[in-house]
Amino acid sequence: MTGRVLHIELRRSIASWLGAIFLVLTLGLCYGLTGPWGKGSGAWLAQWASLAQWQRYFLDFTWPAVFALGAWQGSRQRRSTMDELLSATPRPAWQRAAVLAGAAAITLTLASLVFFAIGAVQVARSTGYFTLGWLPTLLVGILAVAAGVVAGMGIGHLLPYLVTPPLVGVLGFGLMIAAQWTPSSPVPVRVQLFSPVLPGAATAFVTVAGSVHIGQALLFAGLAASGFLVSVVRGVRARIASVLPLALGVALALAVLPGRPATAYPADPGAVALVCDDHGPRVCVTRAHQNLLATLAGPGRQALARLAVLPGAPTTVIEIPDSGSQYVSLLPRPGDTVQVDLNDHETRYWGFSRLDPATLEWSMLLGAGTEPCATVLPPGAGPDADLLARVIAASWLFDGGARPVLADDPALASRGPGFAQEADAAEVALLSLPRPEQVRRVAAVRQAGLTCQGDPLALLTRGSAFR
Amino acid sequence: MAARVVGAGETAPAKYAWEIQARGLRLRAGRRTAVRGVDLTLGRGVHGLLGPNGAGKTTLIRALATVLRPAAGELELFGERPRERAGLRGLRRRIGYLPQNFGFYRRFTVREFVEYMAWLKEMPKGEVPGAVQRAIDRVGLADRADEKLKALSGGMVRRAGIAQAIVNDPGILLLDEPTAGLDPAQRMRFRELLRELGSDTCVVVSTHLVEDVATACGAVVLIDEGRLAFQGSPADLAAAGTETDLGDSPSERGYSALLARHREAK
Repeated sequence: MTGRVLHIELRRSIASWLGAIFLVLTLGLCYGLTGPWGKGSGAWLAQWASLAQWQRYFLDFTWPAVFALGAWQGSRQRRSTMDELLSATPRPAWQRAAVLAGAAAITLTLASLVFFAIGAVQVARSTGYFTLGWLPTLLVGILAVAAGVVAGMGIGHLLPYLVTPPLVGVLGFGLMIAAQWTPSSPVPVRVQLFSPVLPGAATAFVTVAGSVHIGQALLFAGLAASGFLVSVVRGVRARIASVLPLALGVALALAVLPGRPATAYPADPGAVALVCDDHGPRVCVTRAHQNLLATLAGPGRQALARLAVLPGAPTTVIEIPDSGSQYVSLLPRPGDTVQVDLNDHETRYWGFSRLDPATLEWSMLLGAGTEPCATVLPPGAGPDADLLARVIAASWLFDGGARPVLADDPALASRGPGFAQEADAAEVALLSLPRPEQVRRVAAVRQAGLTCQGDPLALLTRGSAFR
Repeated sequence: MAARVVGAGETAPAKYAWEIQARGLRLRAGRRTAVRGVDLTLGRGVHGLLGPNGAGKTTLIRALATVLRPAAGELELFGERPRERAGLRGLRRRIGYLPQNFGFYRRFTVREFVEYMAWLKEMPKGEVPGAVQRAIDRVGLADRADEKLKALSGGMVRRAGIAQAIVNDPGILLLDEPTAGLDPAQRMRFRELLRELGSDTCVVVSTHLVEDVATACGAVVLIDEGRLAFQGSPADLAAAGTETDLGDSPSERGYSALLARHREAK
């Protein structure tokens, strides 16, 4: 019979709307807008863990909506003047509230799972790296929205006024904004982690710490318990006492949640581990990108073959996990290796259309097979001497001046005609030199890239480190 | 719902003389004392609860529905005092209640609403579908059973309210102003239903329509200013009036006469 009543509540309460609104809103946000979730190696459709984390990111907007709709549902009994009739019935109030909360939790869970499943179809195609790291992220997210709706119901039951749901929505949104995850936020990290919103996966190589999951699960369990109790108990004292589970959840969460972002979002050692192809010169990619090994191996070996004209040429291609471009200057740079960052924001924006063999090979020849030393300006931000040298070296290695410098790099073509003219002029000047001098100068560019010392453009155009 | 164990008390023959028994019952409505010492014994049959507005009818019915706790005096329902929690739960399963201000969930269909109420009254799972259909049939809403309550007229909503009250075959059925909003034909049908229900149920119908009481009730309870003014049969009610009393029918004249006599006696 409870099943039958649950069925009635699923159809007639706000539950079905709740699930539909949650799903449509989430899908609309991630497909309808462009944002950080579509970019980088941690894009929402790139990795399993990323999908779960970006799903949590969208709670920024959907959680307050769920919270407000819960408040609307919570005021139903009073709005419908059902109190009198209900208070004469034998069934305990908690069972009534449990069925209603259960109906809402079921549709929200379904909506969360459907969203994850839609993403999962695409993630399964794009990555070969699978761990269960996404599971707690997803489950805690479901708990968070369920707790949100139950807490909303509690507030709506307590304050059954027309203004309550919108106010609750604004309050929820305010809380999300206040806890917004930014490195410079004045709010302590522990308190930021009270938010159901996760910052989204910056790269494929970070994960969410177990302590975050546990702390948040305790917090949201407390919130749900308090919301439920408020809906059920009678009397002022009992209502005040029903805040206790939330207080307990907050206390436990404070004890468990980590205090630093690096602890909360540690590197995923499984994702950064290398997978190598040793049939020929060694080419390695991270486990997170293991299904790109075959794609990278051919162009990688081509690049190594072209770099072989240089003295002390590299013999290995290794993907370095992108850890944010601000750290790129701190990388150790071994001379025998071509380091590839598949998300380096220079020419290899993460995107499958850009991973054609020629583009990959070209990108590995930039700076004569070195990573940039400083954060590279985004395309269109004006000429950049270092970039100019890197591109000319790549062009020289790639086709020896047979084609204009930027012919192989549409991303850099957007930097304007001045940049292209300057590049072509410099390459013509380089090619006019005797062959051994050309080799010496390109090797010097590689050396500058490995040590991050000297001016690569000066080395290329004048043969010395000074302009 | 898990199968309910039928308690011995439910199958054993009644151990009480009256479904409802009150002695010196005092009830508060907010800060006001609305019922001031009422002695009342009501058994099976239809009891019309009459009285002017503010006499304490609704307060009395709320106490009988176990919503309101007596401030003083004794109240026994089925021979038990509605006090301790466990006992209260058992009592409530055997009571049907239509509040004066009948609220309902607008998006529910008639059937869903009556089913929901049957669940709240902890009816055994197997009995619910049949009982719901029977209750809906009895109030004449069978053809509208799967329509949402918000689509129904006021009279039909009232009938849905009666359906939820009778769905658990209550031993005590409390109807507070059930005929409000019913058209004459519906009212006649309702009286018939009342007579039917009264054969094995203690029905208390509050109304200020004297005619309803005269035609459908086997007994009359008249209260005024929180006190019992008269208890007797409709015939006694009619006999109490004379041609000089206010009213268009013998019952109405009886009502006026009894009220006046009660007020004089104070």
